[in-house]
Amino acid sequence: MNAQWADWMAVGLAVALAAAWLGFRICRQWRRQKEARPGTGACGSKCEDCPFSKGCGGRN
Amino acid sequence: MNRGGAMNGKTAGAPGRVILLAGNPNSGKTSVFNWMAGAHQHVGNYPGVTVEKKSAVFTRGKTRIELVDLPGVYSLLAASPEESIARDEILSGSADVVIQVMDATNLERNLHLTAQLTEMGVPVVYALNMSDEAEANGLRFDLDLLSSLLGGPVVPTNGSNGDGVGALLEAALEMAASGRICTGRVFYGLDIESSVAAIAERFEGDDAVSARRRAIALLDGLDDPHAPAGAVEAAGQEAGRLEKRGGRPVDVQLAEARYGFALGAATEASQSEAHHVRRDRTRRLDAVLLHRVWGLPIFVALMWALFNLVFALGEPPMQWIEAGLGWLSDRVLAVWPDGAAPLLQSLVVDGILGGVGGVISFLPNILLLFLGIAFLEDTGYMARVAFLMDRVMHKMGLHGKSFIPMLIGLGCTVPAILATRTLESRRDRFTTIMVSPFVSCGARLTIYALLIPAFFAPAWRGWVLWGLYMAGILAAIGVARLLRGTLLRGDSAPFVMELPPFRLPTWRSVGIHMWDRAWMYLQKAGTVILAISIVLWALGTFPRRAEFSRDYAAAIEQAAGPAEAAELEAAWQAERLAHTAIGRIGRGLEPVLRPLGFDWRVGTALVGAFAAKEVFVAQMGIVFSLGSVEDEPDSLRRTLREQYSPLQGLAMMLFCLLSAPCMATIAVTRRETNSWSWALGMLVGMTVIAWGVTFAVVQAGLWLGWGVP
Repeated sequence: MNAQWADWMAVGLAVALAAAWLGFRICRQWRRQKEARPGTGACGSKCEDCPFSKGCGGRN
Repeated sequence: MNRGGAMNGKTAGAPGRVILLAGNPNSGKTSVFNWMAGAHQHVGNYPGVTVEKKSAVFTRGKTRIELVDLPGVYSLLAASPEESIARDEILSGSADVVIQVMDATNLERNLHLTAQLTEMGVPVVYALNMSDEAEANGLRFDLDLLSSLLGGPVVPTNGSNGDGVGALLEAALEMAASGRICTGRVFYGLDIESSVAAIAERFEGDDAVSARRRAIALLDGLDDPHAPAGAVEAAGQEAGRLEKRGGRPVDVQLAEARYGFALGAATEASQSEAHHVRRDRTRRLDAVLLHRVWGLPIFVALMWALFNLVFALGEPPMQWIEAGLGWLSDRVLAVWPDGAAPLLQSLVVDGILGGVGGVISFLPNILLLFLGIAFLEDTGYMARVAFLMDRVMHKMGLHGKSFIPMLIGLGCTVPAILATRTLESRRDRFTTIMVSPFVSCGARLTIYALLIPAFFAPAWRGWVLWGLYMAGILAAIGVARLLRGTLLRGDSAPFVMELPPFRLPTWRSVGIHMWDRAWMYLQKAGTVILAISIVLWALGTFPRRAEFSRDYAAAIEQAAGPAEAAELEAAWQAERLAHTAIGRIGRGLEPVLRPLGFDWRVGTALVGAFAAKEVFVAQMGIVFSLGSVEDEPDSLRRTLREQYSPLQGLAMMLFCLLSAPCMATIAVTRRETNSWSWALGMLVGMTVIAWGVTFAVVQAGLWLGWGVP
C-alpha cells in the first residue's frame, strides 16, 4: 500500500510540475505582451531605432 | 560652414536652395554642374582643404540656387580626404537636396555610393548620366522601377549636350520642397541589423535615421568622437560577435551587403540587349543561376538533391540514436525492481523515452537539412533564389523580398513572421505573414522524418520530401494570390533584391549555424516537449479502466500460441487506451478525421501538434508505446507501417503541412497583425484548407487504387 502511494505521489508530482511549468510559460508570454509599453514593438524591443519598426504592427 | 564669399541659399533673404552634387569620379558630375549652373556663372574655389570643392550661385525663376560640386568619391566611409569632405558636407545639414550623378554605363558600381547615401537621411535625386551612351551599348533602364527602388526620382541626363539637366534641376527643387528624405534602403541581414539596432539604442539624443547611420559607421570602424561610450563599447562587442559568426571582418560583411544592394538594383532595373562577356566569377555564376529559363529548375533540382542527402546521410546516425534509446529503455527496465512503482516506470519508459526520445532521434536529419541551407545561404545562393522567385511573387502581387521570410520559415515560422517587418507595405506584410506557415518548418521535418521512411522505399524518400516542400510553396502562392485579389488588394511596394557576391562559406560559420539549430532543437526537446510528453502520458494513462470486455489475462494464458497471445495483448492495450482522456478526445474527433483516413490515435497526435509540431511524433511514440508490447528501437515505424497504408502516411504529412500552425505561430501572428481576426483566420483557414486538400488527395488515391485507409 505504501509503495503504491509513493508511486502515485511521484507520478502526480511529475505531471503537476510539468503542467504548472507549461502554464507558467504561457502566462509569462501573455503578460509580456500585455505589459509591452507604447513605443515597444511586438518583439518587446523599442520601436525607436529599430530597423524593423517600419510597418511594425505591434503596440507602436 | 565657411564658404568664403559664397552665398548660402538658406541664409539669404530671398527663397533659396542649396543643392549638393555627389557621385563617383568620372561620372560626368562636372559636366552636369556646368550645364546646370551655366558657364558664365560665378564659380568659386574653397581653399584650406586638400581637395577642390566648387560652388556656383544662380537663380531659377525666383529661386536662388547654390550648387555645390563635391569631390568625386566611391564611398562615404571617410577613408580619404575626399570622402571626409563629401560625408561632412552631406551631414552638415546645409543642403536641401543631394543630386547623385551616376554613370549609366556602369550603374552597379555607382549604386554602391547610393547604398551609403540613402543612409544619410537626406533627400536624394538621381541623375542617370551618359544614358545615351548606355543605350547605344544596348542597356535599357526601367526608370520608374529604379526610382522606386532608390527612393528618389531618377532623371536621364546627357552631360555632353545638357539633355535632361533642366528636368533634373526641376526634380531636385521639387524634392527639396517636398521635404521627403530618403531612408536606408539596404537590408544588411538579420544578424547585422540586430547588432545595428543594439548599438543605435545607445544614441539616445539622435533621431532614428541618425542613430542607425552612426551605429553602422561605428560597426564599419569609423571614428565618432561624439558617440556615447556605451555605443562605442556596444559596437566593439557586436563587431566581435559578427566577425566570429560571419568568419570575416564586419566591414567586409557591410560592404558585401551594399554591393549586394547595388548588384540587385542594377540587375532588376536594367536589361542588357548586348551579349557582354561576363568577366568575374559572380557574374559568370549569375549568368547560369539567374537564367530566366533555367534558374528555377536549377533551384528545384538543388533542393531535390539536398532532401535526398537528408535521408541518405541521416539514416545511419538516426539508427544509432534509436539503438541508444532502445538500450537505455532496456537498461531502465532491467534495473527497475520487479513490480515496483509501475506507473513511474511507464512514465519514464513510455512517456519520457517514448516521447522525447522519438523527437531526439531525428536530430541528424534536422542538422543535415540546416547544414545544406546554411551552406546555400552563406554562398549567397539563397539571395539569388529570392531574386528568381521575384517573378513568381510578382504574379501573386508580392515582391521577391517576401520570399526571404519564407526561406527563414524553413527553420521556424516564428522568426519568419518577425522577419516580415522588413516589408514596408502593410498589404505585403500581412500577406507574407499569412502564407509563411505553409513553408515546412524544422518541426514539421521531424514528422516527415518519422513517416517517410515508415511508408516509402529509400528511392522515393527524397522525392516525397521534396514534393511536400514544393506543395507548401505552391499552397503559399495560391493563398497569397487569393488574399491579394480579395482582402489585401493593391500594388506591391518596390524593394531592391540584394545579390551578395558568391563566396565559399567557412566551416566555422556553417558550424555555428548548425550548432545554433541543434542547441535550439535539444533545448526544445528537453523543456517544452518533455513537459508536454509528461502531460500527454498522463492523459493517455488516466482514467484507468477497471473492467474490460473480456478477461484478457485469462485469455492470454489460454492462448494457442505466441501470435494469438500478442494479438490479445494488443487488443487489451487498445481497450485500455480508448478509455483514457486522450482516447476519448481522439474518439470525439474521429468522425471529422475519418474521411481523411485517420483514426483516433492520429487525431490525438494532431491535437498535440498544435502545441508544437514535434509533439505529433512524441504523441505517436507515447500512444503506440503504451499500446505496444514491443521494445525494439525501430518498433514505432514498423508499427505505423503495419497499422496504416502509404496513402494514409502521405495524408498525415499533407495535413500536418497545411493545417493550423503551432500555438507560438498563432500568438506571434496576433502580435504582429495586432488583430485576433487575422490570427484566428490563419488557424481556421489553414485547417479548412488542410482538410479539403487532404480529403481530395485521399479520395484521388483511393480512386487510383493506391491504398485503403
